Amino acid sequence: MADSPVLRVEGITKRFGGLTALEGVRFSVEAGEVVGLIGPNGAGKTTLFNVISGIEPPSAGRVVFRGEPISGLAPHLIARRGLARTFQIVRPFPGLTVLENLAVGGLTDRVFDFRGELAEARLRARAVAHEVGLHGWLEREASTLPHGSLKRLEIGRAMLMRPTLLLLDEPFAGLGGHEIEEVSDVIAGLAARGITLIIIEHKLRALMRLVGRAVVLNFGKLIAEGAPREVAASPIVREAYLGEKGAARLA
Amino acid sequence: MAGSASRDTSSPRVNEARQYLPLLALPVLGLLGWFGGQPLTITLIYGTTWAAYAVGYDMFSGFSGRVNLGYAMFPATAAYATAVLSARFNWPVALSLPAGIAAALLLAALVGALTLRIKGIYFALSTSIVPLALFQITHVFGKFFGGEEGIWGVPPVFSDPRYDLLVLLGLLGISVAFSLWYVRSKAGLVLRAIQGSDLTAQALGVDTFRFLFVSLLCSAAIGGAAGAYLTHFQMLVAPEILQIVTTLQIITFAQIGGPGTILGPAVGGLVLVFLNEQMRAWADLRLFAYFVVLVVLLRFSPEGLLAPAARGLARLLRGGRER
Repeated sequence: MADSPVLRVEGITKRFGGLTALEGVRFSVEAGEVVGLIGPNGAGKTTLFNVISGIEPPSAGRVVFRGEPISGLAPHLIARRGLARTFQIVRPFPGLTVLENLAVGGLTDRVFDFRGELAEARLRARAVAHEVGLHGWLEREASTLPHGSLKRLEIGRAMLMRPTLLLLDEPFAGLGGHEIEEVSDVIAGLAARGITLIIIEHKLRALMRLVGRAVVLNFGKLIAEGAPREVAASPIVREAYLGEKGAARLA
Repeated sequence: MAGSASRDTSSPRVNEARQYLPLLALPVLGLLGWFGGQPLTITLIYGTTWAAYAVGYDMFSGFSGRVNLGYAMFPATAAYATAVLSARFNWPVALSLPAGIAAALLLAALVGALTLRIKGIYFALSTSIVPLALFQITHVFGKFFGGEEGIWGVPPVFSDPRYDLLVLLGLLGISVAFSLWYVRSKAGLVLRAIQGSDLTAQALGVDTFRFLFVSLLCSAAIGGAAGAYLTHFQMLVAPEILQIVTTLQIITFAQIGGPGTILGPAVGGLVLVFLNEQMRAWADLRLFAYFVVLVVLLRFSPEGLLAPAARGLARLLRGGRER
């Protein structure tokens, strides 16, 4: 199993009524890889995340995670297998503190907790809060956090699930230079720990420093795949998405 | 900084062991009811029952945010089941009562399986229909369920209502203690997370349906137990319990007491039943009164009246001591 890819996206097609959001998308991700998923707005990147994480069923094709097909499973079952994700728009649980928000990521499905499971999750939440730099805000209601901290909260919540594969949907969205570096450090730390990552991001300069490979979507189709430099140099990609200016930024 | 912020959070958190202290009021109510004369005993019996309904409602809806607009279906089903079994089939009360609770659980499982994946207002709508459907059933199968008349001749458990009051106070105590523990446990955390975002909770690996389902069963057991027992005290069950006003009344009690606090709805139920007894003469106007109270509260004090009042009192006491 160690040789087989962690994730295989096998000819995923997703249609919404007459609109084809994804068409025959096919790629795979090896264990420990950090992959950037890029493409212009509306290319189908988030839809692909939704299909992989089980929020949307594919119209055709299938997703194989650690050697087993997961398409058609409920989102929580996919998450339980070690495939976690964050959302483009931050979604803290309102009314819950930072610590509680994190702890939710570290729970099992037993409804009645007689073994101190919640206490253990809180303990782990504290440790993760330290890693993502939220330890000063543990008792604060999460929805009152500034945007940058919310982004780190999302990642922290996913970390509590101890995922094998983590899908990050625009972790830098809405962040300034300094905050981007903070979040980058957190992501680099995850990669260093051997967590496989797929990252959707428009802030390409910051993204390309993190990833070993980039996959490019345009109009729902995979149009290029390769090392960041190769992808940036590819004429199809330049034309479809980056434009000369973007390509220059990567060089 | 973190400490001062935590005091301001509106999350329904209560202090660890101290939260159970208000349960000490129950023996006091028992004494009042025992020595205070029959009218007081009977009012307290109703107050205790409605408090249990409000607690059962709150431990699910107050935390998950799924408004169960048909909550009366649980006490009603348990009441009808124990009434039919004891009055028509001569089952001993010791068997018919648990069977009544089991019937409420069965209904909760059925309704839960059908509705818990529905969110927001649509959950409220779909649950609100259930008691109305049951109301129809009591009329269509009138021979069996007594139609408009209901079922009479349900055997009482005790001849002295004061014993009934003690049983119901015990039941309320267990319900409150269990609910307080439950909502502070992992399950309560998950329910509050689900209230925030069902989808996010699922993405974090939480089987949201399972937590909602089990919580709904607990909620049904509390209402079912109280409803079944009250039927034996009243020696009858009437189909009015299935009308929307029953649930509306429960929600109003919980809303005045402070939703998501368990204790608030318990106190709300106990206190407001006294008021309710006064309004008995108003008949249909009661429905209107509840509607007005509910709307005014939701608009101006969504936290209820009792919880902010209790907090204000606590602050006053603390402030007095500090000075």
